Amino acid sequence: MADKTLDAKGQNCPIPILKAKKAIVEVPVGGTLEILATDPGAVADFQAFARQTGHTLVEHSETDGVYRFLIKRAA
Amino acid sequence: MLELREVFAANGPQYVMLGGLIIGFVFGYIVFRTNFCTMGAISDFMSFGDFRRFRAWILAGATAIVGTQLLVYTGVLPISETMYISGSLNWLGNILGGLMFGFGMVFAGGCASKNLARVGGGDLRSLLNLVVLGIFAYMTIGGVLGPLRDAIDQATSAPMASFGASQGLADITAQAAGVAASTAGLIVGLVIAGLMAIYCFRDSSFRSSPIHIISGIGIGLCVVAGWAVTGLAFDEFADTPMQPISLTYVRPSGDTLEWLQRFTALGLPNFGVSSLFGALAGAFVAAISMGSFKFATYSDTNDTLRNMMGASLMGIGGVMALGCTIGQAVTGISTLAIGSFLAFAAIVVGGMLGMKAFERALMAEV
Repeated sequence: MADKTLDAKGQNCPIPILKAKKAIVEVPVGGTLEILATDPGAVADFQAFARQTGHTLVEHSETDGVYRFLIKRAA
Repeated sequence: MLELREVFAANGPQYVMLGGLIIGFVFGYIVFRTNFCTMGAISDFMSFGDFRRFRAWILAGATAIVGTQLLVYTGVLPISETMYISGSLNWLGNILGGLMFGFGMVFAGGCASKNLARVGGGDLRSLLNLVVLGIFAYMTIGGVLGPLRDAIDQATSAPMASFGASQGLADITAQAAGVAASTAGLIVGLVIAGLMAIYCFRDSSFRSSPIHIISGIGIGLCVVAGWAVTGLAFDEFADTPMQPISLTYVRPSGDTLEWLQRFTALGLPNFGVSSLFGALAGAFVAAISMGSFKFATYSDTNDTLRNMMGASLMGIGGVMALGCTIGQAVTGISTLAIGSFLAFAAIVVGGMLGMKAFERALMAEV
């Protein structure tokens, strides 16, 4: 169970990333943020987001065109 | 070379149409498959300090410069016949238009070419964005906004005659150094492209990311291929010579709407229109191959308003600046026109301003 869920379904880049930037700081350190998105570019976007920010992309999956990302907040 | 040019000249409209379709297809496939996105490039470095997509964009420009100047040097491309190499510098149009285009693309989910790729992936919102963009482009070329755009051009365009035959760095350097313009273009092009390549490859994260390198080089080569086809098809003795052109997607969005409605009068589609259809098809094939084709539309009223505004700004700005993130920032700079570099810089600044404004607007909504 994630500490916070961000529903960005139906929204195109850069909205999911901009919202995730804000949402991740509202999660406690070590906590997780779940993001739901439908933009096909979201996979590459959130991989890059995690890579650059130091947060961990714990898992990502796709079901019926909905991408789910679980990001663990770094310190 | 002469024989090849004769074959192209004899079949100009057909070869240009076919070339546009094939080159556009490859372009659309690359954009969708590699997630190449100029607006995304700005979002990446502003949101989390990742410059790899921005460097891919720069690498596309560097590749296009080298290839295009080689085409000029070898006589394939009569560069002085292109729209970029004009005798005056429309600096205010380049800057204002670039700012508007860059600002608008953030609100429309990407630039014109990204919206094209999105349409191929089933995004109906991008389809409507392109229709709006095309209408506003035509309004700015010769419609209700045309007189204002023209008045700005007339009032501020700077003649370049005292510096060279045109605003092209090749002509300016040729006049200053007393060498042939094609030689000057090749040397200046290699220097500029070399500096751009150094900027890209000095970054280890870019060097270790083949997808960004491939997308940059691939898109640059698409632009070179466009110049090669339309350069070879240029026949100065034709009744109405077809101006050499390469990938650009603002005016062609309007041209496509016109062509669809007036096919019987217009005949075969020009390079811009056929490359637009090619890009749609390429992105469609990429989306299918990745299993990511999915119909999508506006998520709510705010999303609709944002996209309409962004597309309108891109249509107006793209015409004022004489091109978009591809049309000026890759194709334009490949000609070494000063205005293209100005427009490129303005698009990036406009994109950064747009990103800030968009973030503020979004946070107010949350």
